[in-house]
Amino acid sequence: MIIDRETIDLYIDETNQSLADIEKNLLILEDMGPNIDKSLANLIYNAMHVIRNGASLLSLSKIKDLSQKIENVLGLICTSRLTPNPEVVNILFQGIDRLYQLIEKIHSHEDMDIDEQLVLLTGLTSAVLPDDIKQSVTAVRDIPVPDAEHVFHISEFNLIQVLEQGKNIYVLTFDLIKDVQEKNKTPLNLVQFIQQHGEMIDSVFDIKSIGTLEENETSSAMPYFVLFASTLSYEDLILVLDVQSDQIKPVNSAISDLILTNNKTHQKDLGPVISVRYEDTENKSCKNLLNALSCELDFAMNYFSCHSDKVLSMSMARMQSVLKSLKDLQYQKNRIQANKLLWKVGKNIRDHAYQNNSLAKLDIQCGQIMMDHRILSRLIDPLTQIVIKMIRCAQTDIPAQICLKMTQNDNFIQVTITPANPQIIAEETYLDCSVEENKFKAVSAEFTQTFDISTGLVITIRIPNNVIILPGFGVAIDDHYYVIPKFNVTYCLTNLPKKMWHENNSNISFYHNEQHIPVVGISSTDLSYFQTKKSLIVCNVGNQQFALASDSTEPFELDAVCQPLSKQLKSNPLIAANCLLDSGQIAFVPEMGFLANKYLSIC
Amino acid sequence: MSNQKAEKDGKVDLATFYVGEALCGMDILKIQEINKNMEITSVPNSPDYVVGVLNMRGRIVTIIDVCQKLGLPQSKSKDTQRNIIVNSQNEYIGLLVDKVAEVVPAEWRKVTPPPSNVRGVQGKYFEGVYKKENALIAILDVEEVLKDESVS
Repeated sequence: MIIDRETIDLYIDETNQSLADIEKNLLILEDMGPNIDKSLANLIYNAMHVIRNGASLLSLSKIKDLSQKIENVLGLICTSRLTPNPEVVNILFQGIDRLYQLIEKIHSHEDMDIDEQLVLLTGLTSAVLPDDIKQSVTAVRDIPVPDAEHVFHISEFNLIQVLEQGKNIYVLTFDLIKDVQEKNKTPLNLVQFIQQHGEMIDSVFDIKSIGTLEENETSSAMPYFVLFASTLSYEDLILVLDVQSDQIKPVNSAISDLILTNNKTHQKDLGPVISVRYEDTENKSCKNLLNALSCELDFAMNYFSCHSDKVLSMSMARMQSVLKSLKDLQYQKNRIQANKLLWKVGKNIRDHAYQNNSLAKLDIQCGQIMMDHRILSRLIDPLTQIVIKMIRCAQTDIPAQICLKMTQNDNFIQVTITPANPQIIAEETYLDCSVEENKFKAVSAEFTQTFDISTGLVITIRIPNNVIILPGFGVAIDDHYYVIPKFNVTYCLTNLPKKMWHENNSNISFYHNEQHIPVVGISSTDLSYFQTKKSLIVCNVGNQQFALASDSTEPFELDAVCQPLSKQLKSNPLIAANCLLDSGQIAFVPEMGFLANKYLSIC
Repeated sequence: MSNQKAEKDGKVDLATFYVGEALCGMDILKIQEINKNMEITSVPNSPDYVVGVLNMRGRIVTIIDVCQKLGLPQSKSKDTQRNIIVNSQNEYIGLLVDKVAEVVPAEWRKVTPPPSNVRGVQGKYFEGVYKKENALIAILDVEEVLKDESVS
């Protein structure tokens, strides 16, 4: 490597940060299904592109090759040829995991093997392409640098991808001494600058021109060639890059056949598109049902004056039927195939095995089971922890293989975790899972562990099918936890200067955004009580707005699984439901209508 | 005694416990478990006799202070207090009592109707009274104790 240590450290820091962002954004993209946010997809693509270009600049060949393959897959996602489903994202994550490892051992990364990841990513790319383009994924095109000995070796597929985007391909020549060093820039600055105007396909230093120590004179130039794709014309590029005309050479002859094919392709369809663009039928159904409900309400209002119990009861039955359909629709909307989230457990286990330099395999079997994604996402962490604990208990020289199996019946979904070979866990060994148990119980799931000679250690988690889930914000108020329904919360105020509090005839309000927001307390209505509070949760109930005084500076978001109130609490007007937090503590869901009335009575 | 009580016959094992100074009992089969878990979360805006709620292995159980409910003076000793968890109308409810005593084998035919007042507590809260060698056991009518009067 001919780049200084500082630049490499900077590259490592930026790449680690970018990979973390890419991972986070990929998960968001995955949740979007076939209707992806194009701008987010492009953001991920560009981030990977920057990583590749940096690797190219620093001559980190394996990082460059792997990031190139990931970039190819991301390019297919950007053009909607590939849907980022769990399988696709999982393969991308495997590539990203390996990139992390390569970055971590950057000085010895050439010794690391990336074949497995390259095969998976190449397979993914070629699998979705039409037959006539398939071979381009593995075919390599030589593009010579004009007036120099160097040749770029580029995958044909990369060239096709940029041509499909309507870009022209150029070779740019820079001098790292004149264009970088003398201008007090770093090579990475130059790369970032170039990328503002197009896409760097590849880049290389002309090391031969630098000379060697044996030679009497070393060159005063350090040529740096960039294979560049941009929608800008030759003339425009000279202007924006502030270079001489001889520093830019259009590439035509070496790729003339690809340009011709691309022009033809553009005249017809762009090939089979894997992702199916579906109409948002759920929204349509929802709209139809709301219309139906509105009609039923009109019907009830029109006949209300006739005081006929029969008509009213019929009307109520019809409304209930529509409401039930709405509820069913909502229920269906939140259900996803379990494997769409459960693969994350597998990824976590791989990460854990890598970090601990151990080997372990997790076999996830969940068939086509559908589950509420809010429950499922709360199971990922405790399931991961249990598998890790089981791996730690395993007494084996070969990689521990753990099976996670999901089955279902009318009432519940059951997850069983067992070692594939029961003998690897010593007899009568039980795991300490108190933390995980609390998390399962918070979603109303039952947790058991048994030991049997034939089956070994078996962990069973039973998740009831019909639970009431309330998306909300958890806050602490007067030594209690409350979950405020998300649909009631407008925003949260945490900066509460004393001068903003107002008291008028015992009515307390807080001045914010040029309005006085009436404030409601759970246990008191005194100004001194309110002034001890750390935040105000501004809520809307119907057309009433009020603020609930809270002791939490940062409300935490959660999908609470509500448990019915006992008959002793049903008459409590303040409490609508109760639920368990992951910590095992009990939280209450306040009756927002009661709090709104409390504010009205103050007024 | 209600008709239901009148129909009772045969033997019964009474789990006995103290509510204040009063020795009470209930059919042991009604009891799901007895615990001394005192990590009870109070419930705001609740009647005094509702001690709070308890996380019993993932199930939220409401705990009722039997002393308060029956209008008896509060016990001074917290160490001996226990939650008797019963299943009432498909719901687990905890009864906080001052001390758990022995199990007493009894016969329903020897259970006498409760007087209108048992040690200062209204008779309606009891199914009857069973006379042991040297003590009287007031058999608690769990459903009556758990009735939420604020609803009516």
